[in-house]
Amino acid sequence: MSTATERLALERAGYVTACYTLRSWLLTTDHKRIAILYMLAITGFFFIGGAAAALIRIELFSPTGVFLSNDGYNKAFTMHSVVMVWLFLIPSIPTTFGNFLIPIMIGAKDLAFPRLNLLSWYIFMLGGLFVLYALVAGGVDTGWTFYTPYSTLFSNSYVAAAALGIFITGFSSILTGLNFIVTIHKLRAPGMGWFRLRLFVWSHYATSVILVLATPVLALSLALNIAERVFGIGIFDPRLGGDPLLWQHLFWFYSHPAVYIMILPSMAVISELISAFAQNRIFGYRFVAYSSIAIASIGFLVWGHHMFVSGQSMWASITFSFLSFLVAVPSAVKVYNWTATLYKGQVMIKAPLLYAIGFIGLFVVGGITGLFLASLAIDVHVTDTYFVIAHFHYIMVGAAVSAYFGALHFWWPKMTGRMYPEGWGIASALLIFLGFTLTFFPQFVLGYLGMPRRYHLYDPQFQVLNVLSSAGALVLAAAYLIPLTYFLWSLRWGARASDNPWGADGLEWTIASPPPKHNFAQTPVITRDPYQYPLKEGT
Amino acid sequence: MAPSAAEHTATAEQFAAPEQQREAAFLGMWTFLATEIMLFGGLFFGIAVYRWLHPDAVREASQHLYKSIGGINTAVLLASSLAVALAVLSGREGDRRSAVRNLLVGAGLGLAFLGIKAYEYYLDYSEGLMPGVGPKPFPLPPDSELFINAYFFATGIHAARADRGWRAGGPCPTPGDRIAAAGSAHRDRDRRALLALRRHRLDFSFPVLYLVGG
Repeated sequence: MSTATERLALERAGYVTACYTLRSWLLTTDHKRIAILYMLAITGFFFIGGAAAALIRIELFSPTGVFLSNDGYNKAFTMHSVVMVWLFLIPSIPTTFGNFLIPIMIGAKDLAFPRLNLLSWYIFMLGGLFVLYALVAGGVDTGWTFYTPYSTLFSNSYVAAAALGIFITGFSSILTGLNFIVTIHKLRAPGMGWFRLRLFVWSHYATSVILVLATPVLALSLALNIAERVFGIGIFDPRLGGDPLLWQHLFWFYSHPAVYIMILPSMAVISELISAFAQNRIFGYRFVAYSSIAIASIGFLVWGHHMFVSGQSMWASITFSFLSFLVAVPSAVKVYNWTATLYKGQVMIKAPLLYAIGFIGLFVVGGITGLFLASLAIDVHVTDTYFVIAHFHYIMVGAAVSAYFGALHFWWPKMTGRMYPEGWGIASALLIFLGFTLTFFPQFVLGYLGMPRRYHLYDPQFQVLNVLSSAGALVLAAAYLIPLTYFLWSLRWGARASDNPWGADGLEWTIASPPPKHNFAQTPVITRDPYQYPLKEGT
Repeated sequence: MAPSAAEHTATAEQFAAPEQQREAAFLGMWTFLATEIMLFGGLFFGIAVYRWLHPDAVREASQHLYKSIGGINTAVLLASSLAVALAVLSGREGDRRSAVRNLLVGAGLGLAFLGIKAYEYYLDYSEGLMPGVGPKPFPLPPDSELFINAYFFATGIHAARADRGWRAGGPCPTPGDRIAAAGSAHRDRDRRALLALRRHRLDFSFPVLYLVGG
């Protein structure tokens, strides 16, 4: 009898307190614990990538450089981009919040393949270690795009090791996407129809489709790149009849959809934050849901806009330009719907909402400048300048990282059972927005004036704007360290979180904070649509 | 045959019923196969572009491949697929002995495939076709070299993955095994069907390289 009672107690204990041993974490198949493992790993990678960014911005304080050699600078920006794109941004929201929340949001006990989920974390770590080895052993100087023929024939850096690391992490992405697809199809609780799914789940479904279909192409392309570099097979080498441009096609066939792998989960988060803090039903639910699928589909057809100046045919460029404009439509649908959700809502100004509003502002700027770049004539002027750098940082940092921080603040009480200090949360959200704008807005101007990317020596006329940008980067670095500090502080001293501290709708807010090991004592039965605000007692 | 009580208790805890577990495993395996199509799709796309750019070089190079060995090996691979498919059928009918026998035949033919492949590589090596190694210089015009290299790259990856297919379920699990295992710790027949699915896709991509020269 006592063992039955003990088992019951264990069932009810939070997923963290169920067992404390290191082994119980490293061999866990609990989606919530795996989410935490991912969170620890990507936080580490975020600060490594951030340190490289600091090197870049310090170097650019002066037009003659500060302390890096030409070679050192190439390696610094490659380290920054490789780590940030592949080891932070792509896994960030799906592997942490997606892993933690998708089963709970659909009323399941876990993902469909829990052991596969753990395996994908180990694969990710193995790939990450290869990348780190390449960076520590001597660095890579190709940029994150590994353009041929430089990466295959000329670079004397650790390209193969880095490419192998990314190749390996790709399989982790594939397995995560596969797990999400099967889970969302097959593990929904009774009554949870497709249009009763939260928008968070819809966006992650769209992301998973991209992960599963695009990542294998990247894996093969990297394998070809390695084979070319090591054995000289010739596929990208004109001397053997190969074509270096084939690399660009294969790479961007994955890497443009990869931008949507980074931004769709962010959009997933923003839909949740906006509706919870406006206490309002999401405006145009089906439009927002379908827009995720539209972005995932059209996103596969726009890769050629990275190659307008690579000598591709004018007709191809016109087609890719048109399709790039088209993919902006579903993104705009989301922005309008979020804004309309705020309208006449009972808006509560809390840190997560500030991140969400910051996201919308920065995403709109990043998106519209994306349309500048999709216009053939303007693209010729600003290709490979700081204009491009500013544009994609608005999307990948301004938008995606803001959404990640918004998600951290929103679900932190659920994941840890502790509240973060709200005042500090609001201050850091504002500081991140200011620091970001100061860092990256001047880069639009720099790019438009003609400063090229990937050089550490520049014309003195650009110094004022570069100093502004570097000063912004220091503010941004401080602003990222503040949440790290108070989140850690809150684990011990933060106020205990109730089950639903935000008064938000959704299954995760109906269970304990932190959730018990199996999420639900009984499988929930869903009888209504999501986002039914204002919440009534007992719903 | 209705699932026994023992089968019910073996359903993994995230599933409500064995049927749900089975459906999830099959969907997982089909999704996994879609990723494989995309993986080889990029390669075949590259080879198609090359075939279009250099038709003569590809024709000449592909004539140097051993079509007879490739043909025999395709037959061996398809026969082994058939054996695995028959094992699935036997399993469904509850004939365990016949299922095991067919699986062994399938695995044996798989090993035969790898053996024949190794012999073919040896002949290629002797002719000087292998990139970077060999007793002779490359015997064909230089623009044929890329096709031959792509052939080694593609068949090498294929053989490596076929090898993983054979070992599936062995001591070193691959992601595919994980999904197959998730399908049916409690039902051998589903597991076999899942592994068979995984195998078949390898076989149909195999002859493409030999026939690309037309």
